[in-house]
Amino acid sequence: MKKSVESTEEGWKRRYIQHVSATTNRRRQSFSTVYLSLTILALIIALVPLVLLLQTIISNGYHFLTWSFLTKVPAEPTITHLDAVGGIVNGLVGTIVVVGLALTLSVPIGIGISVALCELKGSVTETLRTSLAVLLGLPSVLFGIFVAAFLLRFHAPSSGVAGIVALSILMVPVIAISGEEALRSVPKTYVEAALALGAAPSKVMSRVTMPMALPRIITGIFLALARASGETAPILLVIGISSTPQWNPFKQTTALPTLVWQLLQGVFPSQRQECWGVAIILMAGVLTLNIIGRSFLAKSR
Amino acid sequence: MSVSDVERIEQVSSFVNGIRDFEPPQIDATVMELRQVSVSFSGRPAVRDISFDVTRNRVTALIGPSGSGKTTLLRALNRLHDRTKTAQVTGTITLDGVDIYGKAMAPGVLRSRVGMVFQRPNPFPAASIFENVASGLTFNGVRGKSLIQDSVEESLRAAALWDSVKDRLKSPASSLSGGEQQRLCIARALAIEPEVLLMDEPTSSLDPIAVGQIEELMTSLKELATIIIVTHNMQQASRISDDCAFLLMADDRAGELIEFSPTAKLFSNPDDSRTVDYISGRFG
Repeated sequence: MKKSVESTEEGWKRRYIQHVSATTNRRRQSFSTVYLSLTILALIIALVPLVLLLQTIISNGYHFLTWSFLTKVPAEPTITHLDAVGGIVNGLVGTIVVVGLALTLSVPIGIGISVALCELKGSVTETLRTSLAVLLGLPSVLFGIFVAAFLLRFHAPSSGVAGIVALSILMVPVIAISGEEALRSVPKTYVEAALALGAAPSKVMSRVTMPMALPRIITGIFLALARASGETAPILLVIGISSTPQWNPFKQTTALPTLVWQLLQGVFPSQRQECWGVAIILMAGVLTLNIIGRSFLAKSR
Repeated sequence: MSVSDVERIEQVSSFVNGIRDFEPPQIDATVMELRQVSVSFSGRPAVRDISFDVTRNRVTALIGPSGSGKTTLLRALNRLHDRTKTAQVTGTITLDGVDIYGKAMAPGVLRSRVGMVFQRPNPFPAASIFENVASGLTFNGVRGKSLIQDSVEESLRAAALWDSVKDRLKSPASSLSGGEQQRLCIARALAIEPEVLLMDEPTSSLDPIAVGQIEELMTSLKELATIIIVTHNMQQASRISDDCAFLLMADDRAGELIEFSPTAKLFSNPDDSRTVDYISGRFG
């Protein structure tokens, strides 16, 4: 048998490195334990407020979860009927109309922008990207104020359409930027494979890149949707108020977040209690949207 | 006394202090022992019941058609499957008699003793040539400038790269050509002086000249380390390896060991007819 390196003098370096490596690994293991405990602590710190929030909303709001709560208009409490609780159908309809139409408006614009960001080069694209990033970071109340200023300037009345515009300004950057990331996540090799077959860039986009990126794009859309459904600030100033379900977007309407706002201003304790009911519906809706969105992402992995 | 002398003294004294609780590895002809090793992904076996011994200071080649589990088996030898949640490795693999999946061996220690070179050159692109080679040492907590400098030079020399890069050690690794990058990766793996070096088709993305250099390199590296190489190239296996393991996909798509013999025997007088068929190019 050949004499091994370990038994010769040159072996000292290997033994030294192995010794250092073993020491380092032992130290690393204890560090790892400490670090893992800190991570678990961080998890608990993050979970406590979440659980408390859910617990408060559910315990205060679960008894509102009835069919009539979803289908009736709010009842105004009177001196004789202090506990009158109606429903929230006006807010529900308003939210569906406003958010649904805002979605139909912002999805094509958002995806169009993300394709442009992905495909076009030059300073215009860079400016666009920067502007979107800025829009993404702005407090949402500014969108409301912006649209409200327009309404004032042209002496236009409040309406669902104004809310749709405000929410679209909020959603387009989310969809565009997440869409661009989704498109860029498609490995270049597939794009090159299609190009090498003579495909035009537009074909590559529509037949290769877009289908592969679709799950992630849909996730981005659902996250934008979830955010928009819960936003109060952009629509509070511009959609007006309606005590009946309003399917016409050109009329004044009430959405769930603005309903919470109205109820909070109510003089009767029962109205303020009703907020919990709206909160639980809103929370369930947003949670569902989030779960659906993320399930698309999970499917793509 | 210069700074480097001080460093050297520190190294030596730390080493002498450390050697008391350091057990020198058993010197045995067998460096790694595989017994009934199976790897499965989500319950579906990819390789099954592989047993053979890897002999020290020899080159062991894993050959077989695509999908026969050569790479899967190789990656089990330094626990690279650990990070794949669906992967499960069963059976026993020992390094110098110690179970590598056991409590006695931390994965980090194992991987500092069993190095790896991948199919595609993967130097850290943002790091310099020097930093790439030194990275294994720094990851493992080795300090001491002169030791690292010596190791980098030695490893680059061993990988036949020193002459072409000695004047640009600070330039990024991405500035090298493909063949140079692969030799850089070999130098990076050698710098921590692994006992075993795993090579996963290290020459498949290289031109013939670079292939020739790396094959030459492997033959000379035998002195320093035991090499286990996955290769698709029969000529390469017969040229450079001393032992050869032939794997083949079974009906359920799991790789099985058909034959393990010294290369000379496997290529001239194999025991199994399937080995004859594969080597003579009748399938695969």
